[in-house]
Amino acid sequence: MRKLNKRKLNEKAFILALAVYPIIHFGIFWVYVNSSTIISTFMRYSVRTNSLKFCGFDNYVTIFKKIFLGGDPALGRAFINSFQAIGINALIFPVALFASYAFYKNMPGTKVYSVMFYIPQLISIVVLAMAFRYMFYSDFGPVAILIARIAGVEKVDLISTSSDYLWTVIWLFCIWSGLGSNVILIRGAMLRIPKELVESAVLDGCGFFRELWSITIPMCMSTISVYIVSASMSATSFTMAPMLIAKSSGSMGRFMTYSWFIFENASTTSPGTIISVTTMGVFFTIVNLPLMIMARVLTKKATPEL
Amino acid sequence: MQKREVEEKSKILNANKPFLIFMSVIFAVYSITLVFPFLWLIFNSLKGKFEFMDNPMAMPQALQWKNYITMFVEFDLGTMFLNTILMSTIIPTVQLFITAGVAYVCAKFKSITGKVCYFCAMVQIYVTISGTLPTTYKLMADTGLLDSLFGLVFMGSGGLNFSFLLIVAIFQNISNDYKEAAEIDGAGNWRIFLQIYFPQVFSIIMAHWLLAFIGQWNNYVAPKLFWPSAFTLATGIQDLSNRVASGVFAMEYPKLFAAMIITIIPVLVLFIVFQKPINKMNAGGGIKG
Amino acid sequence: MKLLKKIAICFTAALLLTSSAFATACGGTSGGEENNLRITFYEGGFGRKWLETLASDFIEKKNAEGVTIKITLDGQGADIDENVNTYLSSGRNLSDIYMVRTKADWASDVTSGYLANLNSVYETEVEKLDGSKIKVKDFMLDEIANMPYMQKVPEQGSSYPWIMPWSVLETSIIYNEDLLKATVRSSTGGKWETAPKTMIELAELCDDINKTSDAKGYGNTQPIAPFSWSMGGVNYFQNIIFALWAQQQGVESSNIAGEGSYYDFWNFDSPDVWKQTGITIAIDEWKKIIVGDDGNWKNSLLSNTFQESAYAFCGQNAVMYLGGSFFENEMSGALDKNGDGKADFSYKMMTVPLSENGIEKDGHGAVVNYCSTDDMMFVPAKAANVELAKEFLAFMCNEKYLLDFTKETGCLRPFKYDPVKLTEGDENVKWSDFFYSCYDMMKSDYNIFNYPKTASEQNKVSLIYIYYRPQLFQGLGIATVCGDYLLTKTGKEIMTGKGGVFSYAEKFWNECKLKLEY
Repeated sequence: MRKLNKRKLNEKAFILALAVYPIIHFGIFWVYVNSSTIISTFMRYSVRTNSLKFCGFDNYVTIFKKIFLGGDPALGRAFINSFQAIGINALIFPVALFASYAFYKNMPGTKVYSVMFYIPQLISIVVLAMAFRYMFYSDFGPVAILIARIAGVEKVDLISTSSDYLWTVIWLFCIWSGLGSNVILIRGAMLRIPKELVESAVLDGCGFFRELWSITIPMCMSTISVYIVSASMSATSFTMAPMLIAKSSGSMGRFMTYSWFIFENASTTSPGTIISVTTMGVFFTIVNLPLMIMARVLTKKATPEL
Repeated sequence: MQKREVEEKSKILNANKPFLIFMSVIFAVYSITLVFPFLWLIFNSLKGKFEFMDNPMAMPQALQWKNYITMFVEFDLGTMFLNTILMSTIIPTVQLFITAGVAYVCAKFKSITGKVCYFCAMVQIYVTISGTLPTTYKLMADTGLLDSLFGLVFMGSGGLNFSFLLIVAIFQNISNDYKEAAEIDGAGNWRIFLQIYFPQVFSIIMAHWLLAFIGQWNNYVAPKLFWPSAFTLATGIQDLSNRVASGVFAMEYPKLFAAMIITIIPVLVLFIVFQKPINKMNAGGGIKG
Repeated sequence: MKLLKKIAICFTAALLLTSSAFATACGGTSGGEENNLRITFYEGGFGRKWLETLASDFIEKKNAEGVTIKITLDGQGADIDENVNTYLSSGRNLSDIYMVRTKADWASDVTSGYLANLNSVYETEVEKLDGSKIKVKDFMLDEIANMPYMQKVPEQGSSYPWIMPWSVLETSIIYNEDLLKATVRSSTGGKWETAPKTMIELAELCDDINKTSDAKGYGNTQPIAPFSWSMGGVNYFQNIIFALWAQQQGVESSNIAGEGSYYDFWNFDSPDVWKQTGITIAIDEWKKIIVGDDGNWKNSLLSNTFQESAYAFCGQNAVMYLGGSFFENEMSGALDKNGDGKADFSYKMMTVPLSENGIEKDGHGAVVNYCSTDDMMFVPAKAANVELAKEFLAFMCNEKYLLDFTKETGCLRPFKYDPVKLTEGDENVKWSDFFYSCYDMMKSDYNIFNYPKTASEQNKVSLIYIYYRPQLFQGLGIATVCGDYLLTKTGKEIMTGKGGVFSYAEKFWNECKLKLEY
């Protein structure tokens, strides 16, 4: 009996030793941080007393007015810009799907391409963005020089903040850097489809594209739904691409996104700024929530039960 | 005979050669666009400052290898490397060890603690609130952990993440017979974990470690905000790119390009050597960054 | 392949071990060492040589007093402006002195207790080269002497200084004198001899440059534009507008009935300051130069970045460039490409030309010179060597070192010293033509700053200025006004039209009033 108790005690100690730290970590970095963030959104900073005072929903009302009633055009623009991430993902998806299918069907050069497509994943986004951006510099970028020659002009402005093409360049960067990893992800799911299923479908007369629609996509739905759900959340984290390609937010926040604004103001010593930024973040999460829920519900419905 | 016929049929029916050739051409173009910028950076990194500005498309007249040496001497690229190595090795190691430990506990012990951990992991993955960065920043500042490697390691060592879910599933698939047999032989819990179960998942953990290493190597946000006094390769290169705009480093594009090439060599080497396990992970998805 | 993998694994393991050893060793400091003064400064623009000389002289001085000290100079890029917040918040890796390009929220830092009180610095007597002594606070330029002062808690207690301005940077129009003198002047048939004195002359010059360039009068193969600038440097439009606005509005006393002066604007006593007529006139005057009737930029060679536009000017692709007194030091390499120690062409800076019907002084149109003094130095309250840092800041204000700074960088510190007079007869000092042009600009009728000088003299600087420092184009931002809006709107539409500056400024002002509990 004593031995059993000792063993149970040892077991409990072992479990606690391994599990306590992660739970405490969760308590600090999820529970405390999130609750503190939410509480701060109901406070106002008083310069006179250097302290926080409760102010109800005032901060949310202010943010709502700034974004939706023209109170701050830069913030309003940042809000809309953030949702471009969803558009970019929507564009990447069909391209990645067809590309993955071609990989899956062992198109010529599959082995070489599967290595090349890893390059954007391996390289820091900072270096990737810089390399991409320099291609479009009007003074020395090869792409800019080529376009200028074709258009018969001396210089083309593609990446200054007054350029009409900068958002196009940002979209191109996102597709260029994101396509490879998405192709690898979806192709990985396709490779797990049982060969017998494909063979029997072929025997039944299933064609190339019919196979894609009726077998491949449904069988990869769990992976595709992960993609769709993360795409629905992508607006909340669309920071690096616009920040590194545009470098500056431009007039009236033309290239600013929400998460970029939060990142830029995260390291502030001003309590007032902290409150503004946290309120914006929580507000944006609330606004984005229906989209995320809808994505989860729809993908769950679309995933066949196997 | 019949099987061969089926295989032949499947090859013919589902090959759609025109489509595959078309996609192959598209991929060839895409692959060229992936490689070309870095080739352009390499040959321009061997030029002088004004030579580059005057003729960016020409080949270098004299190869200025000193640009590479200058980056180590003048801009302390060596320290940036060291900081990046520290961050990229310590954080994944600590994190994955903790993850493996808590995953083992959840998979192999029927306890409320395990259920709590699982619940916390699910909450952390699926419930995300924007705008917590300033609060996290303030927390780190108030606790004296801001601007330190220890603070970064502490932040990144949670253990209840996506890897945790994967490793729990793997542990669950390993038979409990090992544990029972070892207990009969008098082995303690630590011994069973470290000498029996942990080695069985080591290859998976190594694959996760490699990906985490690459992730930390390229991490920009965390060191920028939480360890700014120590430049890593990502934050250092970004700082250098701002310096080419004005001041003593103005227009030193070739040197900047040299620094960029230097930073990508280690990860490329690592990928070439460990290609298979990395391929197996198939990580990624969505927009980069 | 297997052998290669084994080697790679061993290498990785060795790396891990070394890294862990380093990690334990490099635990990170919680601040500096005693008697090791660490100075973190923005290195771009001024370089570090001026500071190295200062540092070694200060060490010598302390040695003579029997105190052994070290000085560590930590030059940083532009990121220091943001990163300094981390150092102040965390108290880790804190330097003893920070010299940054800008820190708009320094007042918040004072209230939060992050900055050290510099009263002893300003009360220190420093030496002038003629042997006389003067207190630092009396030695500073009158226009900004009160700028570093504020109460730690709003409207409570005494006012103390908390920062030290670093430099005075004049910004205006830099011009290629060789190309200017080669430009045919249509009105006289001869050539331009001096820089334009009025905005009308400036417009005339731009037309003449275009005509001369088209006729290849410069011996040019490529077109030569009147101005080189970039959207990355569009804030330099604002600097021109400031000077024109002050000329219209009146600098210290109002020139327009019912409205305040230029300096009154900066106190933000009410949102109506944004309705000042002088601003709209200034915008329209500048717009006439830079925007064509077709709504596109004119007279311009546009580049991606500020530095590329400077390079284009140095390549003699434009006659004029919007820059500042730091230009010569910053672009020295591009100005002397062949490295023979001589600039490839003659260049100077002109004062902003006179606005039509602007204020007068002493019977002539008042010349207004806009100066920026955003860059600053401060001492963190928790630094390891606070008193030593303050001593160093005071030491920097000795006239010898002010002069050394100017000799090395071509820029001025915000003190009442005359570098040309101080080096008269010194064969070793040869000021460049560019420097002389900047020096002459400081003798303008008015040197203006974006600071409420008039209110400060009456101890009535508003809390909104201190804590929130609104901008001229509040809410819209410079890039909008000096970019998209300038192409399509008039000055009045920009400032007071629908969706104009005033509408945002008014909301911002009311928000600030709420936060400050007026």
